[in-house]
Amino acid sequence: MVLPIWFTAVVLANAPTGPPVETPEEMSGQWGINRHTDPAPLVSMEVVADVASAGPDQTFLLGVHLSIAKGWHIYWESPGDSGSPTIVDVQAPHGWTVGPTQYPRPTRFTAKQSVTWGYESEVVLLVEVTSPPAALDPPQFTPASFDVFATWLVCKDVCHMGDAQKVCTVEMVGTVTSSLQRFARWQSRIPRPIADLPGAVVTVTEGLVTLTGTIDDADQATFIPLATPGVQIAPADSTGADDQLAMTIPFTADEDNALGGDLRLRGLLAIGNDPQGPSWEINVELPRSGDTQP
Amino acid sequence: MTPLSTILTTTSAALLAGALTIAAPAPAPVAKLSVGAPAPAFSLTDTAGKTHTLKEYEGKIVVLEWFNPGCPWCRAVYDNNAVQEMLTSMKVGQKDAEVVYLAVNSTANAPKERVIAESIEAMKKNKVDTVPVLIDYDGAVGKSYGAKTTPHMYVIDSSGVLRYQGAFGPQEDYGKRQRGRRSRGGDSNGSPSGGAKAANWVLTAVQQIQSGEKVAPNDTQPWGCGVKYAD
Repeated sequence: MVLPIWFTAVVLANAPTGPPVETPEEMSGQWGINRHTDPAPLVSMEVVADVASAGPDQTFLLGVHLSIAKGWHIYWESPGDSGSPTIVDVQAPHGWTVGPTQYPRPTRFTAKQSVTWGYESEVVLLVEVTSPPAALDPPQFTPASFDVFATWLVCKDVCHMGDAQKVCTVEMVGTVTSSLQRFARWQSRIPRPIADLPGAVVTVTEGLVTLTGTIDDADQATFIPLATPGVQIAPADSTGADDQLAMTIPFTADEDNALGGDLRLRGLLAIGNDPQGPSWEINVELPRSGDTQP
Repeated sequence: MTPLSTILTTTSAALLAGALTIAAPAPAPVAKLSVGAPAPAFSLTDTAGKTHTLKEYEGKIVVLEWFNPGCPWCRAVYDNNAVQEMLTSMKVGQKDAEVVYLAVNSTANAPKERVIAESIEAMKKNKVDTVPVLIDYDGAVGKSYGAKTTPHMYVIDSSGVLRYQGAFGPQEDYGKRQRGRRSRGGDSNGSPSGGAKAANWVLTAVQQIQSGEKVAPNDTQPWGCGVKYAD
């Protein structure tokens, strides 16, 4: 049987680099109880590009595919009451640009005293990369290698820390190539900008962000908060009738805790509880004391 | 044949028990404590059998670390010497020390004896003998403080007022330190290769209290494993 070229390329591209992987016990740092003794990893990582090859000044996606053992979960960029975010770090060749990690809409997990957000079974985190113009990359057909490092906290009723490092290599050619559409399912779960919601209006008044807009199933709208320094978000309240949404999100803001950055209220407007459902990201700057307008 | 009265009594009792079972409330979420409020009093016994109360430390700055030896993030802050360096900077354990550092273990997903034994083993392994581990098996103190993660840090001033709560420092700093131990060598994307110091908001808070400054930041998002409360 002849294997497809792309399959072979994926296998070769995901050859591990660096020192040998530590045992799960060493990786997890467990001192005694709850030691993970099963040699199978709780999370495994593969990295695949969305193109078979790429040309100059081309943007495409790298997909960081994390497979999670049954019953366990890892965390969204904003874990919630506990946990720690899954972090992806991509090192690209000179002249390339690397975008921020794109996280699909998360699943909600509830435990005795907490609500957390993350992923179970599998997730593909997406990173957009852009090649330099041809003039900056002579010889322009040098294969591009991306060194991808990811860290996570994987939990069930106990937790283990983990990480992985993989290299993904993409052949370079002289012309821009087409996307292979490998990540369509996961791209559909990436929250869209709130500006894409018809008629969306976001207003900020003292202690309250208000969102209105037109949306199917407005009565199933919820808000998934994304923690930002200096901003505490209280449970949102929403009403939805005839596809007209009105949501209010109470907050308190403290500049002393902004860690030198802007005060921002961030989160996802989500429809229903299914993480496959639509979502939009709200990201609004909040006024500092003394500001006359947002 | 069973008398009707017995049948009715038994049935009523069963229905009542069922109703009570259905009506049993879910555990209340852990409420967050406000910075600037008096820190809740506590009286807890450590792994050596000594009782510690917040009141006995009046006049000192008290640092509380919610702790679980089974949590890899708790291990990380000790493996990276973050706690040990902080204890040294704060002169914990020295004569006339102004700062007291206490670890609190509210873990209840194992028998209490095992929780105690694991705590002792952990502190011995990390050569930290100046930090008592207070056992909060029923979780009452943890819930009174709103502790959600391990680690979750609190700094209480000498008047018993909560002045800081949250994380040790930026989680990405501590994550980078962990990455540095496994890196191929050299920096990557500016990450420290195991040598640079991570920001420590707890130490900063203690120093600001000691110098009479405003504590900033005073309330940060804690990271780590969820506290394994009994209910």
